[in-house]
Amino acid sequence: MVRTGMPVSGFGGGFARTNARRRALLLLLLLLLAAAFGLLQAPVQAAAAPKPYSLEGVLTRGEQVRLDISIKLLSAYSGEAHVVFQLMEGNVPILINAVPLQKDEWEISQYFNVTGPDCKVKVFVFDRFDSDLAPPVPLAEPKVFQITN
Amino acid sequence: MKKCCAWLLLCVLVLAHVPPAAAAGDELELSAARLERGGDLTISGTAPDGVSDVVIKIVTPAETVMYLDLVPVNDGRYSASVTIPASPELAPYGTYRVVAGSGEWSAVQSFEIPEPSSGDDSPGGGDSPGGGSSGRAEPDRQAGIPPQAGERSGAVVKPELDNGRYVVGEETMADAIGDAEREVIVQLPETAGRDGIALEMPAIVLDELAERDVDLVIESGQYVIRFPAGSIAASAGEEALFRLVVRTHWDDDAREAVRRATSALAEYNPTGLALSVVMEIVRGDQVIAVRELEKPAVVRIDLTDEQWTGLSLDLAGVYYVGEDGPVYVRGRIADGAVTFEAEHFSYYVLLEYDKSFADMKGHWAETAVKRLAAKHIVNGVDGRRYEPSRNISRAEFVTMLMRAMDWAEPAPQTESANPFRDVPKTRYYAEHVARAADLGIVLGYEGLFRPDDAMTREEAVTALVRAAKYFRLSASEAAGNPPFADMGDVSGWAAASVAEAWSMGLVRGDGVHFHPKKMLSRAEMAVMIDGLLADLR
Repeated sequence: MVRTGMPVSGFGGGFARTNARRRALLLLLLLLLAAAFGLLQAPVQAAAAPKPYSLEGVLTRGEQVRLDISIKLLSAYSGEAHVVFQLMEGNVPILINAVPLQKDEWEISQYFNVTGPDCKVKVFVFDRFDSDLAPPVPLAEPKVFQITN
Repeated sequence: MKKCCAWLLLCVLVLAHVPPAAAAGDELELSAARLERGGDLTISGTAPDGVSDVVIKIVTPAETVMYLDLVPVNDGRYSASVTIPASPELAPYGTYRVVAGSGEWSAVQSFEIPEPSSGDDSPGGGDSPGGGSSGRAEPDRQAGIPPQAGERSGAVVKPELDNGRYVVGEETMADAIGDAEREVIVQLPETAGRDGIALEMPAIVLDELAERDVDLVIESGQYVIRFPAGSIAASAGEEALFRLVVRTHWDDDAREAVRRATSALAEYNPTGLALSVVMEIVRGDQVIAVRELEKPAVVRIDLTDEQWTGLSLDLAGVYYVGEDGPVYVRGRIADGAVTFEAEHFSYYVLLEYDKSFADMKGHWAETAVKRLAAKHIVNGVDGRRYEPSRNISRAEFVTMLMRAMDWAEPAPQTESANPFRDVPKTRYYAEHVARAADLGIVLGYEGLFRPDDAMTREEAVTALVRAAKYFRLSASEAAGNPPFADMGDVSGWAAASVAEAWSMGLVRGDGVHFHPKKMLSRAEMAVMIDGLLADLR
């Protein structure tokens, strides 16, 4: 009877304020959850760490196609390094070989006699060149040189 | 309510620090599990967070790298397209493994280029998918060697790097052969041997070398291989190419080859030295592997300081790594280098063979027996025991002596007539006894060899001294007469041999007596043979 004796408006007004707070809190929680999971699910494109070697190249077309590669060590790195040449004809890998780097600054020339369409050579610097199933570590930004179109 | 909110917030914070479960299965996807040559393969997948580029590698069934690339990650995904070469040389049948990874993360999948169940599989045959509809031809590599490629100075040639291989032109080699007295030396950079970069030259050069009786010597930083004139049977025509790939790098391939060959043989230990030689004749799309040599090639490999100082010269030996385990190859390890003859090529490795016989532990002859076991001159009686105290039989004596002689200085393997009635051809020692008789090392008794009889020490020393001239022993180590108190007991026919054996340091007796009539034990024999080989260690 005590409750029925209470003003209806008073009881009803308190209930409405509580519900509003609850809704606001729930909305805030949902927003927090959405933000947290959104952050988790969104791919994090971390900026790639700078690679220790720079790689430059010049392609010269004469009787033969000649590729002059220049490699420089930019930051502290004392492990093994191999420059890898991947010759491609379209999407077909037709030749791959590697030469170990033994100096901090190194230049190498390669000649190519390929005549097929869309021949290009990709040049990389990796810490290893072998058939191991662990991926090698890239030590320079790779470069692609178009030999034939 | 507040408590409820607090718990929810806590959950959110905890969840925010838990990385999402890796989406197993979609890290690396291949568009096909089976492919034909010339077929297209798409390699794609989802990279873990934080990975900006992914290394992709395709490894062939021959454990060579076919393809290596670094592809960017966009929206968490990466992708690359590769067309399998149409050439059997570049794309042999079998299972290929594809690796995608970055740093600690990697995923591996495989695909197969199945061998046709029937039909022609000749190189360049009609098994290319789509009947060769890819229209892609391999580059004409033979035509790519300019006749004047390479630098020449007299009979020494330096190849030039071309298309990822070292090449020497036909004219360059012809001029070098013209200037050669005995050999043409092709000098490759050290990196060629370490990384297995091919050397290519027109195959017709091999015919010219044979006709002019000129050896081909391949030199790199760590190795020298001498191919005697005519050792590589080529005659492949003017269009053919000779390709030689030498690797001396102790890489995963070498480790795996040794592991496979010695997995059940605990006595063998790798030393970090390996040599892999692949020879091929390439004519158009045809690739013919050349394994056997008409004459043995002489190989010398220089050891690094680290390899040399870490090596046990008593136990080390050269082995050919075949399918049936390591096969000992006689070689010489001295002055920081290993030299051996190779009658065929594939994998050769330097291993240490530390054979322990159960009945030799702590024995005074243990070191000598270990040294002889490492040279595969002694094998023990059953693989576990050597039986050092047992009297040696005449057959065992001759077998051990002739094995040691072959190790020291291989004599031409002539067919020796067996002069003894009691030596059946089928016995393991028959050939050794016949050769020893042929060389005058053993004489026998009126047509009998008496293979199972024991030998007295004076009999053994007499035969040993007759054999010593084949072992390139150094000059006499001691002058004068032997100090043995029982020299008077030595038979007249053996006295000179005992004195000579003492002067050469082959016998010491017990320091006082020689015991000429005592039977020779297997341990004593091992020490004597070990003494014969002392100058060759």
